Amino acid sequence: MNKQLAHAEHDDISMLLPWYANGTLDDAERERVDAHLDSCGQCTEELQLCVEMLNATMSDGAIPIPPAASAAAIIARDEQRPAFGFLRDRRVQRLAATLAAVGLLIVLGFMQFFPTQQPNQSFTAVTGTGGASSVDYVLELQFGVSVTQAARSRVLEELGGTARPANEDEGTYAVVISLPPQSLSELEQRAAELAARDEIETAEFVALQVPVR
Amino acid sequence: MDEPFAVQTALMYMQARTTRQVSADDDRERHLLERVARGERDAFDEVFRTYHPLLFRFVFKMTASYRLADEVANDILLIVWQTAAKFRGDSKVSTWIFGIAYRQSLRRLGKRRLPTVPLFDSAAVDEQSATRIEREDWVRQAIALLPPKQRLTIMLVYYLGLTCEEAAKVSDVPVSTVKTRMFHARRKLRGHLGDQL
Repeated sequence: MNKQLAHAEHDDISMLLPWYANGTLDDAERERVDAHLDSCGQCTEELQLCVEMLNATMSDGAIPIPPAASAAAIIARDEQRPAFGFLRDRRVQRLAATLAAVGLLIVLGFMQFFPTQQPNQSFTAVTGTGGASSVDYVLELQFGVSVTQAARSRVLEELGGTARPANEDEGTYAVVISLPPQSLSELEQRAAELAARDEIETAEFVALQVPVR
Repeated sequence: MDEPFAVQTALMYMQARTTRQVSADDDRERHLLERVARGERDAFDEVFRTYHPLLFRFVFKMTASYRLADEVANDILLIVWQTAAKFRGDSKVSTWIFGIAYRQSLRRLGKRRLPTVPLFDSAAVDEQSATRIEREDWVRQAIALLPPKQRLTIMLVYYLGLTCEEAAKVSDVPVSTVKTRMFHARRKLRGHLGDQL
């Protein structure tokens, strides 16, 4: 056997020594190790260490016997598990957190493409449109039933803008008024002032029209 | 007459079978595990009696903690009870159970620095035995200083007496990794032991 092959055989045998020591090598492998050990002092020393490691791990003298071990106790523990005990599992918690984050991103993405028509959000968007000088707000007005047509026209003329009857019999009008960008509270204030007038039953800003550039 | 519970437990440990005896009886164990998967308590009791002593000692040797060994051995058997139906049958039952033991132990060992415990009373033994026991104790303490994966592999091979292929299956790594871990563990152990050998 040349030097290189002998070296490879030595390395290979050295790797097998733990299983030679624990007695689980098959016959062919054991005979190979035996033959190598006859002529290799280094592997013989290594084997001695393997045997000492085996003895150190096998020695059971100081190990006590657990007094309360029983299969019934384990089954009882399983039966006492809370219904949602799996939620305490860190892997489940991590999965839930990931799903929540993904869900949030989807919702935010959806809102980006399909903004809701809530006045609050729309107005915020309007005030942030790079300083548009005016915005057309749609005001819904309802006059009192006894308010004459002339009185209605007078009020609508005061408000300016264009008025379109939504339901003339009921005295309801949609009035488009051009105003500088308003905050929600300013609009609510304005609507409240209008609703305080004798002729008007209710006044509410219900929509806006963003100027197209 | 029924034995007191503590006596029953002690008997169970004294009569505990070795890992190789357990592994050799795989057909019986497969049948037993099928019954456990169906929720048969007496079958689980038999699995418990076979494996608890082995698992308890295995973990105790790794942790040197009575409480932790009891806790982990019970955790391992609880997993066996809960997941017996998931056993695919492509390995021995003992390999599957030791695989659970390996993962549970590794999880606990990652969080724990091992204490070095004096395991013998030198006053109680003669000089020759004292030297042997002392050397064993040095080796045991040096093993306790090894990284968890190397330590666990030593336990699989030396304490549980697994073949290289079985140890690889239990640890879910290639055979070459098991051999390398054992080789490096030995080299490190020599370094730790220094002049003691």
